[in-house]
Amino acid sequence: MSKENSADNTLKQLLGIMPGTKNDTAFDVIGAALFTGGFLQSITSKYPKYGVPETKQVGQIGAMFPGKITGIESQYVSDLAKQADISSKSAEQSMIARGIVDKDVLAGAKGQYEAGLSGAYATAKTALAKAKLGAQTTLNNALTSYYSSIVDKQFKSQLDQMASRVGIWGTLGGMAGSAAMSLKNPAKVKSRPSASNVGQTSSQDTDFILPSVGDREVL
Amino acid sequence: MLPAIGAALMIGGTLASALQKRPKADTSSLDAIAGMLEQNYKNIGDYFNQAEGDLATQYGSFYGNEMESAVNALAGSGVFDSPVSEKALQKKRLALAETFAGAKSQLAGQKMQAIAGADSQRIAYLNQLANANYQESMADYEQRKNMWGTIGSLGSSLTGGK
Repeated sequence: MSKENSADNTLKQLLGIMPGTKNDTAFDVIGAALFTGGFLQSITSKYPKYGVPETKQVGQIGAMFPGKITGIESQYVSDLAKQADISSKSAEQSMIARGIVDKDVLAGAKGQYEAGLSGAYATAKTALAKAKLGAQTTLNNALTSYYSSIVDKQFKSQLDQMASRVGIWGTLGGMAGSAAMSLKNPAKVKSRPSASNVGQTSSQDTDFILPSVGDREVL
Repeated sequence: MLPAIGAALMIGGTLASALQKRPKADTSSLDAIAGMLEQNYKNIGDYFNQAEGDLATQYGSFYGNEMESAVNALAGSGVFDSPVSEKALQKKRLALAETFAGAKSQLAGQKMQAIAGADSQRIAYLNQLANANYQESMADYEQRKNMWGTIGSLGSSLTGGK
């Protein structure tokens, strides 16, 4: 092939599409549509984001945990109150059985018992508070580990996304530049082959005439 | 003939590479972990319900036995006066209440720690899942991008040159 035809080494040549024909125009339209469609899909494709649904679930776990712990604590206090009530009634019945029926005496005994209970429960409540803090710390460690890992990965994902976008726009810019240059320096218009010039090997219309034996080494 | 074969190979190769099926990641192990975690929560609930029921039953027996022993000890010591024996029994009741509160507190603390542990395991699992899902999404994105990029290149080839 000659130098001025080197830019014409396209698929259309392989398919034997002649320039200026209806097929040539049709393929230009198809090609432009495929190129535009391919480019638009490339730039509009949604780049995946790291860990969005999982982070939401982790947030829910973190938010629900204090409620679970408070529930256990409330149940504990309720159970203690129930037991204290049972013990108090048992003590009152025991006193009545022993002949202590004076209401003031009974009320006083009950008051003393309940006052004594706060002292009895103090150690247990302190231990429970310590366990509550320990449990919260365990969860906080897990949350911290997760969020630290996710921040790093999300940042890398955004960097990769930026690189991908830069590549796409860079490709478009390069192709636009090539197109602009080709419009500035248009290739010579080649004449359509006719019966009178088939077999001729002039430089002006070598492109669209099947090469003769002597031209094979050029190809 | 050769140009036609070349064109066919070019188009065929382009389309084959664009439509290549990508392998799917095997997430069966992560699914198994999710199942185990759900079972873990259930086991924790069942265990502590059982433990609390057992504690209530055992404490009831323990309380009765201890009070009976206390009464017998007082009678054995010749203490029959009601106010005096009542004061001694009151102290016994408070001591038993303290024992009960301690046992309940231990059980409640263990339950809190068990739930924190289960939630921590779930968070670790979600970290693994996020990684696996992201890789899956990225593979899908790359496949689509390559497919459309290849189609765009094919279009560019068709319009190239005059």
